[in-house]
Amino acid sequence: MIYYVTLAGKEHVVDVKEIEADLYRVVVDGVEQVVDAQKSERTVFSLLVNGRSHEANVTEQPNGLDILIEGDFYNVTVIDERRRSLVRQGEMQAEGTQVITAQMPGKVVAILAEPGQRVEAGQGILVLEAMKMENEIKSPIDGEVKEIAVEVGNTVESGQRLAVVE
Amino acid sequence: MFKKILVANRGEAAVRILRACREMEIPSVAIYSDPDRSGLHVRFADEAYRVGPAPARESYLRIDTIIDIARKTGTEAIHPGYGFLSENPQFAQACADAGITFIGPSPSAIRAMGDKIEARKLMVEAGIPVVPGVTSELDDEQAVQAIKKIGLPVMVKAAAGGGGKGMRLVREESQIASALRSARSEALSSFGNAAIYIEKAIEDARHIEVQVLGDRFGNLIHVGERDCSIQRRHQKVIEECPAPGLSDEQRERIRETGARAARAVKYESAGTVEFLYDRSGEFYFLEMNTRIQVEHAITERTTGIDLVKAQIRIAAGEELWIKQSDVAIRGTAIECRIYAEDPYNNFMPSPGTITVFRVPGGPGVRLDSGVYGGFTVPLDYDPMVAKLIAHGDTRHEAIERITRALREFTIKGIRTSIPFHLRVMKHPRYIAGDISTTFVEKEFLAKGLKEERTHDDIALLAAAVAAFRRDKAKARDLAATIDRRDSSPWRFAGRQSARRRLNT
Repeated sequence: MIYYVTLAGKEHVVDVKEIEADLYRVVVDGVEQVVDAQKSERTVFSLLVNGRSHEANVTEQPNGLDILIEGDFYNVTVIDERRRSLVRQGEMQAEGTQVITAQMPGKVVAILAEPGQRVEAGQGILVLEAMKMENEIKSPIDGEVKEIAVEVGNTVESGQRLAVVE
Repeated sequence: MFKKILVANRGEAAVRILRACREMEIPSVAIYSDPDRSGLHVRFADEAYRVGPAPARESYLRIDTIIDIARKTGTEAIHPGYGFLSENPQFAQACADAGITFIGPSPSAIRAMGDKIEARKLMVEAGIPVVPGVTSELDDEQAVQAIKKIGLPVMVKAAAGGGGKGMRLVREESQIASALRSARSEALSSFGNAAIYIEKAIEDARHIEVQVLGDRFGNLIHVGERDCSIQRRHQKVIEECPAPGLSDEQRERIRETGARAARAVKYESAGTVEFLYDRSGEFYFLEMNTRIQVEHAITERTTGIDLVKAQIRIAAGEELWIKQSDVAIRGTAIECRIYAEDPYNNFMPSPGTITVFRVPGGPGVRLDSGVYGGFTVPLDYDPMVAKLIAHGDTRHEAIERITRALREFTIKGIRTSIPFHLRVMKHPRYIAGDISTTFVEKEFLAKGLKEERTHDDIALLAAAVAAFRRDKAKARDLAATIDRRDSSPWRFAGRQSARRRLNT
């Protein structure tokens, strides 16, 4: 089975074949390895690669796999060939207009810019409060505020549209 | 001893105090807000009652509701933990008025130290060194004047502040307006009081604090000092006991000064006197926290004294049973505060549901937390999810142990500050004990915290194998479903009963 595995923006071609139960031949970008993979706990893989023991905690997320190895996070997307061609077609992106979205759930406690106002990159657009800390949401570009999509007091969800700067 | 204790807190703090109650076999009462019905502290108490909806102002800060629950449950004493009402003199007074013991100092000591401006004056009178500053009530215009007089850099601080909230460092004139605005607004939302004052910023100083224990009979001892210099946004993230690199004389002097400061307000219960410690070894009174602190566990680990139980015994009227000469610090203990935030995304808060929570163990490790796998970290409260404490015979061993424990600690579903802690533990400056309150900003934030991954190869293998197994399991399920379509016993039984119904 061939997968396209993306880690930190870099895509790798990975071919996985099952040799026997829990034993795999894995070819990563042309380099072949034999992996003994045991699922030891609900989300933990114990991996033996050339005798070296590794532990990877793997959970599935809507946007890929969340992997934790020795305290460090690896967010990985895995797609097979069929899915990959579908994704490729949808990858065209608009430029120039910056939609600012909430990176975390929170409450809008202040709005610092209004539609029509010129802002510089790094200038505060609004202030979100989450977990008792205030975070100033800044403009990513020099431009004009086209829209403020929220009001003071609104609770916003992660990913929700906050403002548009062009 | 008290017949029943109510814990007016949540999460890790509440769990810590409830553990003390259980050890002392004192029946306990927990309170919870709506999202905290599933909180761990509810299960660690003998009784638990709803205190209100999610916002702290309508739940954990509702003095009237809490006193009401205490009365109805026959509570004899209330432990406020840290944060929330722990330094609120009105609450301590309300307890006294209701005939309930407040486990902590007297309302007058809380008031004296809680008003940071008042506290400075008291310390000056007691001969304790303080940071130069302007302390009269200031409006924005006066604040700007004060800043010009003192000279940049300055700290803008909430008069009612504490715990790093409502505090801003101002280096340049252009930052003044924004610092005043945000300090006031945070002070108002955290403490219900927007008053601020200005102090000269002592840069590159260390934060060293002295733990004290006093009783109502006038006995007061220090229980060693802690270094809490590793801070981000004036919030402590890593603490250690004892403070590294002090000479015996310096150590003795700061401990004695701390005890003297606490005696000046006739302090009883556990408390902490905080100092700024500059490069030359001079130190200045910063504030006194009239409560147990988050980082109390490292003192417990090195001295063997259970500070929470000590608070309870002192509040119950016991005379202090520990003499100053009994206090000895053995080895070094380090604490890492694990926050629900993403160190690789500007430490953005990361609330959500914890899917995996595997705790570290082994020699010298202590974990205090208020969460578990499946728990949803609420948006409404402090983002700290756990405190990891490691002890070693030497500072070097403590660093090795906490590094090992951080690597064992697995929290998923939310992002945590664990990767950041690992980076601090291997930083040459930290290892050398060359730390100050600007360490995190200089060594990490200013340079930009780039994601560091040393196991990309293993992650790729794990991802591919996990995907392969998932797809294989899916294919197998699909085949089984197709297989079952005509032979399911449920289907068969369903058809049988339908046939029976038709027949009757």
